[in-house]
Amino acid sequence: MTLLAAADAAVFLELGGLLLVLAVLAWAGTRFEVSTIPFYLLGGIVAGIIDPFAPSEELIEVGADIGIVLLLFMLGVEYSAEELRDNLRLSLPAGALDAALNFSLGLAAGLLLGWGFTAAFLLGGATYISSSGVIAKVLDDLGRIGNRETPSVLSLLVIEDLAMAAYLPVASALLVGGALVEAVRTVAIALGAATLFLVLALRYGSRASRLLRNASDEVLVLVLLGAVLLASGAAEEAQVSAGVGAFLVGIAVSGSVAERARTLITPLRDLFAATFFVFFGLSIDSGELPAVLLPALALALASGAAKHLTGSWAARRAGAGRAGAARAGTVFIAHGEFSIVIAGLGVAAGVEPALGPMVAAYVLITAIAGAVLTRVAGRVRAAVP
Amino acid sequence: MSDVERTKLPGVGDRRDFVTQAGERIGVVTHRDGRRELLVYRREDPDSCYVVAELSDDDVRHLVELFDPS
Repeated sequence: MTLLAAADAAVFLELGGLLLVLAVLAWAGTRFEVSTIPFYLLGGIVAGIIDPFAPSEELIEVGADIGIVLLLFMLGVEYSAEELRDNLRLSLPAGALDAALNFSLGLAAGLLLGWGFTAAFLLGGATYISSSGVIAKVLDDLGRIGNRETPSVLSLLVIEDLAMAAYLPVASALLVGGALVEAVRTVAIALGAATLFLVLALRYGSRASRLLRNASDEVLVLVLLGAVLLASGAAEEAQVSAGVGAFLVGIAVSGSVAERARTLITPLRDLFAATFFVFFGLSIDSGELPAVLLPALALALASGAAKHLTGSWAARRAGAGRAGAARAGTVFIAHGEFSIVIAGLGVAAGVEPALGPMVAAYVLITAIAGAVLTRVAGRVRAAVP
Repeated sequence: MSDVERTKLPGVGDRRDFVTQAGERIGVVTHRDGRRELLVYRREDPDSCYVVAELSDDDVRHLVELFDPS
């Protein structure tokens, strides 16, 4: 008796092969001390040209969607509601400069390229949100967690995180489109729902988390995944974008449950997020890549300079010296997972064929250049005692 | 020990540091998962550390013993 039909066998072979390729890409990323994200992206782009995943593409797409949801859930879990509130108060000026400069750059670039407003708005989001994953890893790898410029960098990341809660509903309302009045109404409903949930999470999040304090790991994984998928589905159903629901559930999780969620869900997040990055690489039109390379490079230069300015200004305001400000500015350049999540929304909705390739090229450039530049900035200072 | 400075590190944990009588800044980062790192800051660039050493609970006991053998 066999449980596996022949079609399942083919799917298993493909998925097994895919996971092993992901393993090699992850190893390469770790080996070269750059984030793994650019490697997954490149792997996906190459796979898109060879096209080996015909029968299991649907399965990979579901995996990729779960990847988006878990990325945003873990972003929400990363910071407690109190941390969000405290940092908003402390770092609002730097956070506002960050948003004003880096969002406008992407938006302007999109409009200059002759894209529609929605596509340009998505590009603005992609250039605005730095990669908290890449940055946290670089800071840890380089032994900079204890540095005195580091809190200002982390604080900026928290504010970007909070901004995502407002940005995503607006982006998804724009993607749904329709008449202006209807779009404004959708945005208002989405923002209202997100704000209400945030307030509820601040108030009752810890109480809900306390209910789960004594749950076993098994129960906790099932409860968390169930709640995340339900909230994502409900948000998507209400046309607010699945990611927003997942993100808000993540914020509501707090205390010891958040700590355990990080341990339990992170491996799942890594698996599905890797699938998502590869899928994004697969689904973009690689024929468009050469045409967007120069604009992406120009955009990376401009936004890299703006990110550097923001990061070093925030560090200066927190009392860091010149060397510390240079380190804070350069580490802030790297973009990654959330730029791809935002671009993925547009690619899925088919708004602008050049958006996917543009953001892929932009992330490749900034993730690698950011990691290299911040090492250089650290070393230059070390050489001049 | 009254002049220990405590700084929250959102998403990481917290950091406590102080200046020794000899003028050296020393600190400890406590990660959310309980990992602890000993920090010694540079004099020429007081924002950065030239020692970042991860210490387990046993390591901390050993270190204390080394300072106060009895």
